[in-house]
Amino acid sequence: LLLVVAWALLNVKLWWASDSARILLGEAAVLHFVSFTAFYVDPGSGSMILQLLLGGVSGVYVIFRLFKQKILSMFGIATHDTSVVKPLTGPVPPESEDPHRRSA
Amino acid sequence: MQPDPLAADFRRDRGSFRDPGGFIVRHGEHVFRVVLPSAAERWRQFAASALAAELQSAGLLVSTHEVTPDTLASTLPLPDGALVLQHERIPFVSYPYEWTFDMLRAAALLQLEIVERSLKHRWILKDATAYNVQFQGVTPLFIDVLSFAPLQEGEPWAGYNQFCRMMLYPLMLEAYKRVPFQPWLRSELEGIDPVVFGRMFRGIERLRPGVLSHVVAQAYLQRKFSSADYSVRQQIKAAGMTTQMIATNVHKLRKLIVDLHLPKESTTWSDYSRAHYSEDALARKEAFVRESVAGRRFELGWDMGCNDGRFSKLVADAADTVVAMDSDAGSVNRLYCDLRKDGRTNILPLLVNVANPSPAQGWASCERASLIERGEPQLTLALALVHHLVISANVPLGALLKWLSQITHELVIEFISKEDAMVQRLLLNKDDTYSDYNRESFESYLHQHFRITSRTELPGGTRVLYHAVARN
Repeated sequence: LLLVVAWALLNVKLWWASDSARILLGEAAVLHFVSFTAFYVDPGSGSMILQLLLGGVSGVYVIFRLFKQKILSMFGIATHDTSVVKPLTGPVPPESEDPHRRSA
Repeated sequence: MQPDPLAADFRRDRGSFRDPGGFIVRHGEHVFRVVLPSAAERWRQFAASALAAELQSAGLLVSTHEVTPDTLASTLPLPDGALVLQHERIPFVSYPYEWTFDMLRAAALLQLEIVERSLKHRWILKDATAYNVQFQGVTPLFIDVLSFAPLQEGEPWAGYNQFCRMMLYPLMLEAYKRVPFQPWLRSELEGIDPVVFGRMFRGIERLRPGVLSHVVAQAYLQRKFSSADYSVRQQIKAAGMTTQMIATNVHKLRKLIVDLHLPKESTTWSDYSRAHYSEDALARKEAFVRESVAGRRFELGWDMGCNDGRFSKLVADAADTVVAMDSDAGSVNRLYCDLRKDGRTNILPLLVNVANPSPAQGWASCERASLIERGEPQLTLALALVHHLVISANVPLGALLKWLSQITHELVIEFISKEDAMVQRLLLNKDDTYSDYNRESFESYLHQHFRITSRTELPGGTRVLYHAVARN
């Protein structure tokens, strides 16, 4: 079942990199407060996403959260916070400046 | 035994530089690991953890204890706060491109078992390089104690991609495509790239277990995200990745690898010792080898062209470690499986072509040592090998004996003359340009580089065994 879901997700050709990045950036503000393991090996961006797909049903749900906007808009369901569009580079705005983030 | 702290030959291992947390230092027989201040606290936590105790007692982790930094500090400048660990020495270091399918499979399962056990104790491995596993005889051991890091909730397993490249894909390559993985791993020290590997599977082949998920999807995602200019790592943490997802993936990887098997094919040498020798000749040959090592003790013996390992086992009774090498993967793999069942602990089977032994390579051409650099044998067996090197691989006979005298102190070697059916077979479709391939020339070359201590002719008259000691 997981494979079918994974394959379906891949085959609908989500507009990954550029578009989804804007949505992703909406989540970035919370990350100022969390710590990370020192990775000296690049885990690979694609491989990290894949670990969600292979991580069971809950992983697929996290994928959905990551790419919620794209997935919903593909099915013609407009969401109220599609305005979360940030530049791909440059500083991430603080949480307070982003009224839509919480609902993302 | 503590090493002399004033001795000058403490040397930093040339393959140990990637992890910023520390590095390996060798001193003769002793292996030390310097833990730099940045990783000292992490090491202390790990050393005191239930996980470390569990892995040690299960025999999965190389035995390690802390020693005083003074052991190294007088010869090697160490920053304040650095720790020094001493590891149990691995008798002969080997590399994934010298392992057979079942050896790499055992190493992969060991990595996954360690990740699974680590997760239960809220730890994780921060990488998954195949070089973190070494074989002690036929038992795989995890050797990099600095790979352990406390688990951070929401983080993926950083080693997953590396695990696929260096362990899963090579195993799939052989199990699914019948292509040996060793030549690929020998030149690509980082393993097989997902995008390149993905091209090997077309149509229905993609439905083989694990291909769609670990190969095709990974290749696709790698391409899609190669130009991402934001941290995916931060995003998936924010989106709610959990440790359970890593555990699920690792558990499924383990099941996948348990079900990967070498395709069944008979190999060239599978029944060599039975097929080409009469019972009498085989018994005489065994007796000669046994007499050559009787009452002796060798630290390291090599059996070049070990085939089914019959003679490696004889030498193993007189040696601390025997490295049994052959260029036929089927034979070496079978020997590995036999030894696992036997419970013998001092024979390391390796896939080595003597005409092309592993080179020194990697960063600065010395990250991975050549086969010879990893330990010179006091005794070498070269039984039923010379005709393959001279007639099949076209190595000059004189050069072969000179080389042997440079790598080994003692030699037990077999010369098979042209009249023998096996040599005849090698010459069937070739011109016989091997004018010095005869017993007289062989003995003359041997005499030039070695002192012959005994010789015996096997029944049949085409095979002669020599025991010789190098002159240099």
